[in-house]
Amino acid sequence: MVILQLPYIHGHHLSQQADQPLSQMELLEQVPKLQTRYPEATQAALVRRFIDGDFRYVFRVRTQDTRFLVNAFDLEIVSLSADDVRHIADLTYADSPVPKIHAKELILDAAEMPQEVNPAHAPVWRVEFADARKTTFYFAAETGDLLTQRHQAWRVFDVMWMLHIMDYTDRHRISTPWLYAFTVLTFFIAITGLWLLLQRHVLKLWRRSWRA
Amino acid sequence: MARVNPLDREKYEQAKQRANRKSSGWSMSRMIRLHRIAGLILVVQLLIWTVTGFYFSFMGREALNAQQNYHAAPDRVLAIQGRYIVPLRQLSQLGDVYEINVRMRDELPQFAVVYDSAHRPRHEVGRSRGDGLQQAWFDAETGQRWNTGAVLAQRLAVDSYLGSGMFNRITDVRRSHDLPRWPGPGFRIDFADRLQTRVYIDQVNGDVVAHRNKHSGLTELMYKLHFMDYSGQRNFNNVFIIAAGLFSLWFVLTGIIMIIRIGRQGGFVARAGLQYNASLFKRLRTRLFGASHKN
Repeated sequence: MVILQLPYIHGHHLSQQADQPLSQMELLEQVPKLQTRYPEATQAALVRRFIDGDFRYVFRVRTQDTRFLVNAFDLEIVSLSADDVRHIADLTYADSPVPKIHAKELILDAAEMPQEVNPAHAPVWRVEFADARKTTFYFAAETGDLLTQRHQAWRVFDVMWMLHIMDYTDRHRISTPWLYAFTVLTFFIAITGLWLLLQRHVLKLWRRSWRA
Repeated sequence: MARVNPLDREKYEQAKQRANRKSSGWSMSRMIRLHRIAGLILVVQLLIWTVTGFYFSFMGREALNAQQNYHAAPDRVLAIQGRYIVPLRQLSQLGDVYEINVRMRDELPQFAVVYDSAHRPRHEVGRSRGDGLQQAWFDAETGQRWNTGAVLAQRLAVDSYLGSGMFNRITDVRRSHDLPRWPGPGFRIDFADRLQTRVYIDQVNGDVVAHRNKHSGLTELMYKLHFMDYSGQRNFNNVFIIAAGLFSLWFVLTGIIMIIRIGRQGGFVARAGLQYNASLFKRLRTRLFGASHKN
């Protein structure tokens, strides 16, 4: 765990920016209209995303419970197709040539989410590439935002983390009875070992020097 | 090795060379000696890992992050009523802008900009994100860089606080020992509660950086000792912990080799014929049959 660098485990090297840089920033003037049309909106982010065969200006709107895309010009809701997600995944993949997509699935229910990703992200598109690292991207189903990326090194690290914290089910609880028991046992072994060592080498020498 | 007459020069030199050759190679006795020395060094760090690990486990995530009184305030709905200025000139100077997020900070609209300044390094300097991009924040009412004031910082801190303590004081801080990884500047807001909660607000964007309390100093110390990163950055890829990890691995492996060796010598089998048990059976015979059967 300590040898593998944390940024590498997080897999930032696997992905790149799939959106295009913004040039029409004056579209931000649409935000007051957007708040009137979607009064429950808490955030509106202007991005230029690959949708329906071209890079389009959209607002990613967040409310307390949902997130969705709206066209930055007419403020109509935009929905992503499976084809759009495939294109965004190809653009997000950092290496070239981009390998084939091995598997792509829409996961709607939090209960069906794989263990390697937070269930709170549901619904998501899971896109797995046919490369040696088994690179897998998770995209928000409504917006196409890259939520997280996983690869084989991350999965190995996760197993190591599970063994480290001794939570063999959820892999995130740090207060498990196993951990308590083994910590106390290890402490006991270390302390008694230290005591025996002292007794054998230090105390004997000390007594001998007193006798002499 | 047989004894050598030191006056027989030739044989003495040959024996000396043989002895030197033997000592330069790998031997079990040398490994055992190194294993013991390694144990002496590692026991201190092992105790530290055990104590700090138990502390983390016992305290739990909420207490470790000092979030006993933390409340994640829900995002406010967009409510742009007064002036609304898009800082086009400043945005164009940032570099490649990928995202501009409009959100509310208390009752003020704010632009949170994600950009890549690789092509224009001399222009605006923002905060680095983990993915290599940078962030900058602008006030949507003035079009200027966002700058959190003391009154707003206090309101944001109170919004994130669930405890029963009253607001005590606010201090502007450049950086803080409480948060070694936070670049600052910002505000520290103290509350008069049992835990001595203090909330840090970032001046650059108005975010709640973290809550801290009277246990946070001890927690930071525990992290430093556990990660062996004495700078407080909580970097567990530092050279000390890598060395300690490899050293521990070697210690465990040599320990297993030694256990196998003891097993093969009969250390775990109660059989009189095995070398390891000679003294044990000798003592046993003495107790059972008395001193006359000793020889």
